[in-house]
Amino acid sequence: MLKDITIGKYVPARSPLHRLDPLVKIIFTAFYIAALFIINKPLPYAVFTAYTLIIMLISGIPVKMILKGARPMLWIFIFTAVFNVFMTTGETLWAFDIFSLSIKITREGVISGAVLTVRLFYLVIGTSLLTLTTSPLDLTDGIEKLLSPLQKIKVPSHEIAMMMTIAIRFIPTLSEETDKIMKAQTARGADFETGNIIRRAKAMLPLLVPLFISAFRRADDLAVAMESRCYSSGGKRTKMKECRFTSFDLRAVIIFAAATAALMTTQYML
Amino acid sequence: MIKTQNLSFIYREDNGVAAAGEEAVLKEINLKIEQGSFTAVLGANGSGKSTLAKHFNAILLPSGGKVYVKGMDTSVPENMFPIRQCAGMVFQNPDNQMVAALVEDEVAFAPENLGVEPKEIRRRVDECLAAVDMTKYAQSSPSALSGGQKQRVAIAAALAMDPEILILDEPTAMLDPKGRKEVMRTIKTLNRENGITAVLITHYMDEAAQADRIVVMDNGKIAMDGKPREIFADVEKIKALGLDVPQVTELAHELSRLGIKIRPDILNVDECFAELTRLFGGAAND
Repeated sequence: MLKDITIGKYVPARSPLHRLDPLVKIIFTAFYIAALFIINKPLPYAVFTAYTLIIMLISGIPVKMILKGARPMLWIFIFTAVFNVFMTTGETLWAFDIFSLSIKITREGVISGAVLTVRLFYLVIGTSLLTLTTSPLDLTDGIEKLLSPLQKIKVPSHEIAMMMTIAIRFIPTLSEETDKIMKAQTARGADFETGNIIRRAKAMLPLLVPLFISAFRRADDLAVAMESRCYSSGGKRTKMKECRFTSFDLRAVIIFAAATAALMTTQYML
Repeated sequence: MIKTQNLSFIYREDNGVAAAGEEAVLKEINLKIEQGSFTAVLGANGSGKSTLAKHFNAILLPSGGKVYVKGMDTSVPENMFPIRQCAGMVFQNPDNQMVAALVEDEVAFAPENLGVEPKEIRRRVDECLAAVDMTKYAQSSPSALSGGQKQRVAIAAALAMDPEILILDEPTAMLDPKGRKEVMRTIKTLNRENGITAVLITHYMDEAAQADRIVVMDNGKIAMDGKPREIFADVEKIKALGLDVPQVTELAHELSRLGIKIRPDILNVDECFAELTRLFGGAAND
């Protein structure tokens, strides 16, 4: 179950997306998300879907794998949809009473439920494409560059970036460990599968304790291993792979800008 | 290369006085490790061998006494980075010491910290991966590798600092027999061919038998110190310290106790075979 989480997992491949400067990729992702929340008409959504499909196809990562990343979010999607369908006021489509509660399903509710679910889905796809095609060290590079202007007001941009990379690097390790602990406890009679949500949440508690303990131990080990290799937060570092803004990145920016402009045209002009 | 002078260490202390209920983990240790040597440090759990290793690259600082690495005092703050650069360290758990999601980035981490020029980092990464025979995995993710391969990457990552000493803290404890062999072969090659001074903390006797010298730790003190043959010849003392001798050494020991005249200092299977063949003369062929 937990191995299916693809957020934070990097898949090496040779694709245009992998070649792109990480800073450019992060900015693209930000624009992608912003655009996703700006558009609200069917035609822009169709264009947006086409864009997403194209990006998925040129990423060099199996489409199945990308979609799998959205699967753990399934419950959040359903939750969002259901909440919106029942909680939005507007033109009534269908009304009924349960336990003297009058429940109304509205036209606006159905639409906003569908729109929000689609938005969330694309949000997950877009961000997981970023981490799937960018190695964590490159990602740090990008974040560091993005935050580096803030260094003037004493924001520790490098440290923040390093913490994020390590967090991402340990997601697969810790999820494997969770699986292992779950299996060990299942073998001794623990039940994670049946019962209502509260019961299941309670069953998770004995899982979290050993997981936290081991995470702290790992953090300690890692800190010592990093220090042994002369890491220091204040030190000046160099990079083996210097990310330089190439003509390839420039072309990507031009294409991306054109695509964004086209999308906004469909939203506001048509 | 490494010298300790009356080294003592207490985990929780206040001006050299142990906190209530705390015992010193290291007690008055005097040890000298020669350049180019291959030393194994043996000891039961809690004997202080890992704690000792952490003093060799200034991860821990002595509560009493001094540690000198290449003549540099570890307790002087300015010496910390030169010492760590000079004494690379590899740890037990291969997963917990990896920072990067790509093998070559992992190896590049240390020289990047040292501020080495990008071109030189590239050269070192290629050279160090070749030294541990992992060149073809440069672009792989560490999670796709076997335990032995991960530890070889960790060794390459330490070598990328261009150290003279390699300290290995139970690097094979979590590996399968095949992985253990790979790692041991790598360590021996680096020691013999590249002249790296190796300090191997282990609790595997057959690994310790491959070193030039064995230091046995017990309860924070050095209990025995000598060549593997000398150490393992004293089977009774080794056992009293809660350790074992290699199987073939034990076999020879048991045989000699039964009155059979066999060399007591056998260290590996080949020697044991030769000795038994000699003892039984041509009988083995019949």
